[in-house]
Amino acid sequence: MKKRFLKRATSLALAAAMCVSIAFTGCSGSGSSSKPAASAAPTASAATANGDSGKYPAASTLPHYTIGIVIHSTQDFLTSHLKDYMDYLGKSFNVDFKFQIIENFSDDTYLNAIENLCSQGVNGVICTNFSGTAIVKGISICQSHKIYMGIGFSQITDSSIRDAALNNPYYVGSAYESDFKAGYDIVKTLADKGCKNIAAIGYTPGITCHDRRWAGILQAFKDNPNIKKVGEYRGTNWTPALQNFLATNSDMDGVAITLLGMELCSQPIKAAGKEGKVKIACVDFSEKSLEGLKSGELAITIGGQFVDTLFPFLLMYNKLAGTPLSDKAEEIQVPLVECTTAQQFEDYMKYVNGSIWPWTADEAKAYVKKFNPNAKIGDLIDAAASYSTENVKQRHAQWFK
Amino acid sequence: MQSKGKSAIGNAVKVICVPLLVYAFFAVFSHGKFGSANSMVAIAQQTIAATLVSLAMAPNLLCNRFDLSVGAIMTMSSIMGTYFAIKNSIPLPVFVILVIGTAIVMNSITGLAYLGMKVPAMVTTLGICMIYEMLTNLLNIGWCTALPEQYTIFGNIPTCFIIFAVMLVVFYLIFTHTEFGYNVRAIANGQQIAKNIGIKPKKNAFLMFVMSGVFVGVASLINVSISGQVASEQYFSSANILFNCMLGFYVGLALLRYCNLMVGILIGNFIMTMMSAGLLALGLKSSLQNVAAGLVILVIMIVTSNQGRISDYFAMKHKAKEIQKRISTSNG
Repeated sequence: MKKRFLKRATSLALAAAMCVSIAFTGCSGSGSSSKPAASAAPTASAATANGDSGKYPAASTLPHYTIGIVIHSTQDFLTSHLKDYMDYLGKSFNVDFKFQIIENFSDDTYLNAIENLCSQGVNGVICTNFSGTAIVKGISICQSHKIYMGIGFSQITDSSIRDAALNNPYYVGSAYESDFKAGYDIVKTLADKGCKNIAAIGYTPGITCHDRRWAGILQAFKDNPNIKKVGEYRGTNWTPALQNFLATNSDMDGVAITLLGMELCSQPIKAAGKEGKVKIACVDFSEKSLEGLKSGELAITIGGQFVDTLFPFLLMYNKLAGTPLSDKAEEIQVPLVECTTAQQFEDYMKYVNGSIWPWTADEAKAYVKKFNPNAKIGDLIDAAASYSTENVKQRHAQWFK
Repeated sequence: MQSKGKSAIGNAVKVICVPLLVYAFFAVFSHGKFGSANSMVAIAQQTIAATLVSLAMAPNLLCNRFDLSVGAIMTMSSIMGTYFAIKNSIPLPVFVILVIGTAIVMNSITGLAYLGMKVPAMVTTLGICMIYEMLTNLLNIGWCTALPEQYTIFGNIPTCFIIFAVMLVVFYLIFTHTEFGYNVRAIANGQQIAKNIGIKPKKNAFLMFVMSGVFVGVASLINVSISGQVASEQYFSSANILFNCMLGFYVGLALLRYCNLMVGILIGNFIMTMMSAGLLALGLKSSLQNVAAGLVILVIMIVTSNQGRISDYFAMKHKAKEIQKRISTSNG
């Protein structure tokens, strides 16, 4: 009798498990539906803008390359758009991008991902958020396979490995954002909007972009003695930390967070009955950014870094084509887009995150020596430095008439 | 009878003493920032999910089975509910069933895998944890996703406390007044003896995993309702949830000689949550918070685990004094 019960329970659990797996299978395919508005069918002008003008050789006449991109996701607001952008560029450059999703940011995971991509025969690897001394090992793996490596969203900060890496012929360089400034500006904006008692929350230490944002936050507190830091927390238990800050500081009126402010802070603030009394300032755009800026809950949000991987890609493509832009690896800084009003965010969504890519394939090809013999590394660095909603709007004015 | 009542009061005082000391420490050193009614309510609210996870793990831990997949299951069930809440705007009861149901199914799978593979629970659940963590990455809409507001009502006060109270009563009844509860305790005291008296360890182990699923499911529901968001797990980060709750359990275990296991676990988790909040209130740099947390936990564990030895020491001293007194009187 009891045996029968156990058997029944086992088969029931297994049947349920199968149902869950079926649900997963269905879900994984539909994950793309979360993609931002940019994925909508392009208008005629968008098709013209994004299409090949004929100025440069057609993709079919170009040599085929495969480039691996090591990244933590391709499904959220930032990374889904990054993937779409790279796939779009790939079509025009005759490049296939292999996205290697990593489940964590540990050195071993990165090195395994690089090794894995190398064994698949890629021509280059771009690692996003790759930091620390493991970079040297990563470059050495690539060197042994005679393939190029680039870095996105990060910069080599350790001076002891910096020179060795920058002079390695298989390292093309990196693109990194103005993360220190972003951290600084979120606190400064809160102060400018009247907040005086601000909590600082950051992601677990160890990732260069978050570490820099955190340093910026702390510097802003130092430079603005009129605002008080009610407490600081770095880790992944954001909700309890915020709840405690709210509970122990009745005068708290702002929270500066290095990531996804609306998603992580909105509900705990509402639950504490402080809706409208505590402003959020954060880095990373999301689906909820517009809503937050409209309601005033979000004082500032900073993002737009999906363009980042374009730069290591262009550095790598030039090397692969045999026409490097520079003798050594280059580090390219890309500014972040700051939005303090709903209008600014709507403009960003229209001009940058919309149906026309911020640098169309034709515009990107202008930075490849093989296509444009006048292409210079300085021009690429300047182009990256000019990145903003206004800049994209001006460059693409003819398509938005 | 009187001495029984006296010892019960004495035990209650001892149990309450530990959280009171922690409270007093942080209240004094934070210059009053910590310890207000508001902050204690927030702490009590944060204790709910942690305690439920500890209770979920308790039967398995008592039988020396470390279930490392619990944290990942908690995240996975929240993500499951959030996913369908966002994509299909499912009704609230369906959301609840989905969250709790996912936890039960996943915990049952863990249980079956453990029983089927016949390798130590820690090894099995570690592998399963990694699979579940990967699933959280596959299913989550984004790296961090907000749950629509209409689904967060279970995090509101007093709803969350009512659910918590019901779950505590359920655990108490199961653990102290059912055959299953007796069996768990018998197995915890010696599996071979339990087997010899006719208890079926395999069946009980499976039921423990199922029961664990119920508690993890409710913990997940309350947790996601309070935080209003779900984040994918990576870097074995689900262990973060797990180890804090495990510490809560061990404090509870250390207090077992003075109170019921459920009360001990509740106190243990309350202390753990108070500590996290207290360290934030002290204004410690984030880099020092983990070090301080580790030290305080160590002190609490040393004190609670050695309470018997301390009281034995004082009892012996008292006895020696009495003997000396008697000797001196008889000599005099």
